Amino acid sequence: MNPFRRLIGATLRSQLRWAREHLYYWLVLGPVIVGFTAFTVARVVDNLSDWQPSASTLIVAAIAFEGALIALSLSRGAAEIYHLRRPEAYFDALPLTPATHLHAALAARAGRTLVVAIAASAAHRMAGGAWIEPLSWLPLVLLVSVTSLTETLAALNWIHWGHTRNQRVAALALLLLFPAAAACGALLAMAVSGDLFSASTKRWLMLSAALISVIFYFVVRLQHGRWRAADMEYARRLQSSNHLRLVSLERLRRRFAYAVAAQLARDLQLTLRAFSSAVYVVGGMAALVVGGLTTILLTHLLPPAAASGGWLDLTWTPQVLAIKSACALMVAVLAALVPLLVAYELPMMWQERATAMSGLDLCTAKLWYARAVSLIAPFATWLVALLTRQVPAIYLLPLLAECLWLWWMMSSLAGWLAFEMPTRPGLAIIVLTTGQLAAGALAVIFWPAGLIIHVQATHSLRERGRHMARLYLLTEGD
Amino acid sequence: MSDTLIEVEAVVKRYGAIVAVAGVSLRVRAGEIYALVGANGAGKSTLIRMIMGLTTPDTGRVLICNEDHTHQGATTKRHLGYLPEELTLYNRLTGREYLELVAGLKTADAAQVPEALRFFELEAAADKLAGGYSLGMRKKLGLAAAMLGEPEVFMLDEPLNGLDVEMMRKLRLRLEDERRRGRAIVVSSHVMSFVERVSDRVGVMRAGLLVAEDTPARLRELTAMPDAPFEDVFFQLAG
Repeated sequence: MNPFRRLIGATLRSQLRWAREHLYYWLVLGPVIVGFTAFTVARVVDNLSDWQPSASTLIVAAIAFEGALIALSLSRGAAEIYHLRRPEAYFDALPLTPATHLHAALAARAGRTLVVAIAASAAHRMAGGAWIEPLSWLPLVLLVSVTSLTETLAALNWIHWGHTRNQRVAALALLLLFPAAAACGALLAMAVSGDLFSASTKRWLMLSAALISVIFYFVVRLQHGRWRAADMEYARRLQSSNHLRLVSLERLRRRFAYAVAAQLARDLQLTLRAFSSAVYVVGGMAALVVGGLTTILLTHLLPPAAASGGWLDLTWTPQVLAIKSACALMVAVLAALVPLLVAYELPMMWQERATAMSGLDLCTAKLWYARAVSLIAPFATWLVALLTRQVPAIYLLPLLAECLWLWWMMSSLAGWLAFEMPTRPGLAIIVLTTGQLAAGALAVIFWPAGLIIHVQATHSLRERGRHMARLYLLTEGD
Repeated sequence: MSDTLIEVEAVVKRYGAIVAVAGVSLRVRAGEIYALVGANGAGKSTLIRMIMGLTTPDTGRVLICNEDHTHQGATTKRHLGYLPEELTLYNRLTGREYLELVAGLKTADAAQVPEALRFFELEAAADKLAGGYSLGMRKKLGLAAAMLGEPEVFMLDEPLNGLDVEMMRKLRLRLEDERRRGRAIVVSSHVMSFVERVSDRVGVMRAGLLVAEDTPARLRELTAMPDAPFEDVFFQLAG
């Protein structure tokens, strides 16, 4: 058996064993979430049948999705290429060719992208679309190929840029990456909605994607061969350089118990120092929400508010609903950092285990972390309302209160459920975001409903969070 | 043909303003155990990583079995058996599966796997997942992996961490046996009694420099400490 097959075989065997150990996620939790999403999202989409996004909107959304996917994979892609904190690090000392290492990294990327592609097509089906037709499998295969190669190229150039600051190489990489991301987005749109493009456009797109795959493979192989050895040490030491201390533990200690303050200070420092490329992505997505809201309000896409009605009725004007929805969305996006941070910290959590830390301390720290990272959401969206003057001045302060209420309720949910699935951040994000948006949607429409949910759920969620954190401390997540 | 299996020529490695290794040269012959000692941050692990081809030196070169190994030559690595200071394992592969994987990647005889498991007393745990292994068991698995394929050169970074006394003794005897078979062995360790007992020559590193290099007996003479513990000799030399 050749070394490449051995490496892939070992990874697959390891992953399958993980899957066997976590049958609960696959057989119970996964179907519950998928079913819940199908019966809520699909129904909402059905009810909105009057509103259909244009072809260009769909393509732009698909490109934005692909761009986010590529940015999100920078950390993981780099870890796969340079074997950072991974078992494969040992194999660098074995007589394997650089091409074997590259092909193993590409296979890992392709495997993950395939999961995303399948999830995207399932989401499309749930939103009322048809299953992907057999003829659409070729775009899907090309999508996986181009996306995984683009992610690998981006990760290689990201590390090389950090190491050498070579502007010409970086500019060239961006020149390659932007069209590739656009092609990936177009392929995704084509895979899930075949009638978006004409037959000739489809042919050209697939031809271009095939060409990009071939070119990128050779570029990646060339750069990997030339740079990996020199950049590896930089990648290994990427997180060991000196940094400014931006969060004051002393200040946090005035507000929290020492154990909580110490964890919170660490968590905020790690976030400010971008513990993962997901921090950039989350920041970018939050900025997109603000940008989208501003566009919607300024371009008067929404129907005008009814002239009559009492002061309290202003909470249901389209503009105010849009602002509150954007706030809820932004909180959910920013709070997605919670499960990612928990997963990132898992290997280092022996320290918490070794001390007399309680589950409540652990959970409280993550609760305040969720609140801290998403605190910008109510103010940013309220500021948009203030600057665009789409909300009557008389309702500005109540609107701020509503946005703050949304933030408090949704971020608390994310914090309390931080240890639900510590070893599976991807699944945890889906669960948390679904739960947050469901609760947030109710509160957007009728804020006292949020109050009822919050009061009813506070105690049980707090207890659950404490127990899950405690359970994690005792069992290390196994 | 020269009997020098490891030849390091004036290698330098900088990380920004920090000079991790500042022009170190050394040679290790066949049938020799060379101990590399120094305080934390002295540059031992960086030097070992450069010898292993895991880090590229800024200047200088490394020859393994007379082949240039400076730029991570895959073929040269056939001669090398390596134990890293920190070994990350597949938590969901068993010890046996991990060794079979390493043996396959080294194109070593698969029959060596049971033998390695037996020698390092891992037979009982061989079919358990490595994620449940203790520090000592992980270290033993790393040592077993390093010794697969009968390499001519061993690079062992902190091999004693986590090992019990019995296994330390067993490892020492194994290294002495490998020396008799003509292997070149580089060991980095903080256990000075082990270093003095097992090594033919000791290289003392300080701030990226090789500040002293000789047999343990000669280093004692050099520091005029004939009866003191070898730790004291080390402190005198490493400052």
